[in-house]
Amino acid sequence: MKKPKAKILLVEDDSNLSMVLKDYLEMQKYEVRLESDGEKGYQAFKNSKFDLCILDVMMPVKDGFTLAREIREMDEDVPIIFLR
Amino acid sequence: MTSLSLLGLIFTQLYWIKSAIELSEKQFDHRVNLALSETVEKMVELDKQHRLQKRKFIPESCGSDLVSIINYIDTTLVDSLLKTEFDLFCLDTVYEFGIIQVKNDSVWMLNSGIYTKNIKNTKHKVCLDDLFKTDDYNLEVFFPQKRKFVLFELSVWMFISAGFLLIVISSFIFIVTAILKQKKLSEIKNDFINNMTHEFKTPISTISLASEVLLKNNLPEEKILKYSKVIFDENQRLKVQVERVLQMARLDKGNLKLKISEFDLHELIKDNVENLCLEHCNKPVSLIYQFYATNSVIKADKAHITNIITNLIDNASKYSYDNLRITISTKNVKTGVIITIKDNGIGITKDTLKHIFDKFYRVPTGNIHNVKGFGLGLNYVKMLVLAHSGTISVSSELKKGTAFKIFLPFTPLT
Repeated sequence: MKKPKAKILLVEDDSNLSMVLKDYLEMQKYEVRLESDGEKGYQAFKNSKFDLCILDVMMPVKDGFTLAREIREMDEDVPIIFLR
Repeated sequence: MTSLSLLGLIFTQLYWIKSAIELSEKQFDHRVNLALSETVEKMVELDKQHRLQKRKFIPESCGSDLVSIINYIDTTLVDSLLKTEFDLFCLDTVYEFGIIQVKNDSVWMLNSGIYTKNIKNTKHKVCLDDLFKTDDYNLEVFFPQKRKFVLFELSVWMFISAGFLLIVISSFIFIVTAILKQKKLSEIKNDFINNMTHEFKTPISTISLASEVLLKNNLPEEKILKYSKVIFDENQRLKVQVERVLQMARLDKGNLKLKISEFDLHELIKDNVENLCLEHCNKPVSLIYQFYATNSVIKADKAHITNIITNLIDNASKYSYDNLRITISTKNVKTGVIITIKDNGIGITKDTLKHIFDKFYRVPTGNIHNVKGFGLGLNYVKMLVLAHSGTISVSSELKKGTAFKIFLPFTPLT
């Protein structure tokens, strides 16, 4: 693993799933930033750069689709994966 | 499109009715004129007979002057002549008539006492020149109830037409509302399926991921424990969700059997509510009991009543602000107990309030899910309260809180 670690933004409100997913991704040597709702995810993306976003659709405060649209406005290229 | 053609149909129908009335009036006028000329002919005939009989008293040369006619033509005679003719022509309605001297507009004979404007302006007049040998006298008839008579003649057709039109309109309205209802229902079902897939998929993905992690070798002991706990929890969650959907299916089928037993409502509330709040509420709750009921022992299905209460408390804690306060009060009425569960939560809008007992209904928020759920809880609560022959009502004020009032009888009717 000589490449620099990819940074992943994970936005998921279910505590168990997000915890397991975060652990799993970290085991694959990624750097994971976990946020628990859409608005927090938006703030996190605004303040730092990520290589990949993994979003839940149904979340408190702001849903995944809206968040994805806002991320697209800020960054046209970042890949986005939805959890369904 | 359909409504437009319906409107067109109504207008056409109205137009037809209007022209039918006009036509009928024309026909009526025609019949009256025929009857009038017949009457005049009869009067002339009578006059001739009279003359033959009384020839010796009234010389031919004298002509038929007013004086001689006055002697034998009176109101009753004219009336009876008119009546026979009108009957013959099926003009069975009230009429007024008079014989008018046109020159000085004076009345010579009248059946209705006063020389009304109506008679003066009537369309139905016939000149009595054959009788009086002068065109100065008119027999004029007026029908005060002509409109009514004409309408009555047409009434059968009008009623039939109106009836069918009404049927068409009402079925149109029925169809439109049914379509709208269906549309809404399918939207709700769609939402429910989306919601359910999400709620089922989350634990499934969690379990699959956690087990995948567990399958890796050389995990530290605490991690193994942590993941096992996660899998256990999520499994439990799945079980509860499946149970809930199954319960709905059972309620839907209608084969609900209550296991009736006797218990104290106050004890049940105290036992369950505190446990529930310790388990589920992730915020501080102040519970206030106001048990005013003196007789709180009822016969009901204990498990279901517990579910009802926990469902309502659960809702109160889900839809609330940080300083949650739940007041549970009871009071007796003649035939049972009223339980009121009141919170200081976010409240419900009036529009929403109508639907909260509907199955699958959740306050629409799109994909924003501040609170998880299927929209089954309150539907279940209502069904079971009804199954216990009780009633449930709700009142709410936005941002102030919601109060559910449940009446349960001492013994449910079977």
